[in-house]
Amino acid sequence: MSTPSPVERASDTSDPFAGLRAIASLRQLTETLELRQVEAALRAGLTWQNVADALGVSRQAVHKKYAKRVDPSIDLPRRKSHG
Amino acid sequence: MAKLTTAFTTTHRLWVAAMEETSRQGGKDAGLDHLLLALTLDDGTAGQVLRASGVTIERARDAVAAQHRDQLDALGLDVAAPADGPIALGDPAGYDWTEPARSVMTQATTVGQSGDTVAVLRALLDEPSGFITAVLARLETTPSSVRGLLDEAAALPASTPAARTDDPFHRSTTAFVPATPDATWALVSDPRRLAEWDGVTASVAPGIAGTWVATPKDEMAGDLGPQHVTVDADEVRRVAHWTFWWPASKRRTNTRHVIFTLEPAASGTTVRVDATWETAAARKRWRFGIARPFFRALLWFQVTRVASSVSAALRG
Repeated sequence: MSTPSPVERASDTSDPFAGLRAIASLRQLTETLELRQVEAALRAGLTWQNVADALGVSRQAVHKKYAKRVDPSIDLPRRKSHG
Repeated sequence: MAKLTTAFTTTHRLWVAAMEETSRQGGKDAGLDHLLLALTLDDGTAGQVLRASGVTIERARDAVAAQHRDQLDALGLDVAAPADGPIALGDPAGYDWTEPARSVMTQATTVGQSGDTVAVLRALLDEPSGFITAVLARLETTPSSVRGLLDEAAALPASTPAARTDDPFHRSTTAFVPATPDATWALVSDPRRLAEWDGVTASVAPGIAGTWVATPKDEMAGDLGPQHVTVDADEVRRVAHWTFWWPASKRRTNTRHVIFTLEPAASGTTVRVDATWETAAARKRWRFGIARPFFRALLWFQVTRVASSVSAALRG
């Protein structure tokens, strides 16, 4: 019997409750990684618009989510379109 | 009113500990896992029952990480979460409970519930996702086993609460620290380690005649000048009496005393923190009675912060 491939394991819906809980772990990991990347981007001098473009969301959405969550020692960019 | 106070105290303490645990992973959202970790640090019945069940902070951290890892593995993702760093709470702004954790806190403080840490733990054991049950299974216990111990503890006669002090400039609190009494004593009796638990101190250097000089962290404290410190440490009784004052302050300041009293506890140490301000001027204001609630609240935050900082410094 062959070991299921990662794709087969990820697509396994035989226990949806466990599957959904696994998604919750994935979401938690994603949120943590996203915050780290946003902080790194702002530290590197990228604008909110740059961050929004890379994430594929609106500038307003990314600002609303992260303006009060990023490390307060980061010098936040003023409102400007690019760079 | 008493219930409101209990609920506020519970929420605040758990909030601080849960956010500290969240900060170790670089996150800002405290979930059910962080709430469980915070409860393992509780110095009351909930924490004692968890630790007696083998749910100590170190074991629980490992079990939570293993549970997340296995859940990700079930999705075919062979990724380890980023390694945990030290506690780095800093500015508490931006931290929040996740929806499931907030729901547990709300249930514990709702009508008919006591709002204390036992109520929070009971609500956490009932959380519907099964995550906490799975974590407890890794620690060889179950929600019903923990509930049973909570019921047994509830049947015991209540301990007599400490007499409430009438001094508006004195407050005390106790906290559980997941470290040995020796390790805790080494921290709270050594002036060179003051910066590890005193949020405003950047560095400490020896002064004259047994005093120490603490340089404050931020420029806002510039008009206070350096803080002078003495420590009277009684190693046999495990009581460390700290005195803080600002001899060069341009503002009127109060001499502050912080006293740590340590007692061994299962899987750690119970630390009692007493804080007192010496101040003739403030006592005059106190006679008018208006400032009493303000000073009581301020001192309560101060002792709570000292206790949680000591705990955070020792669990890293």
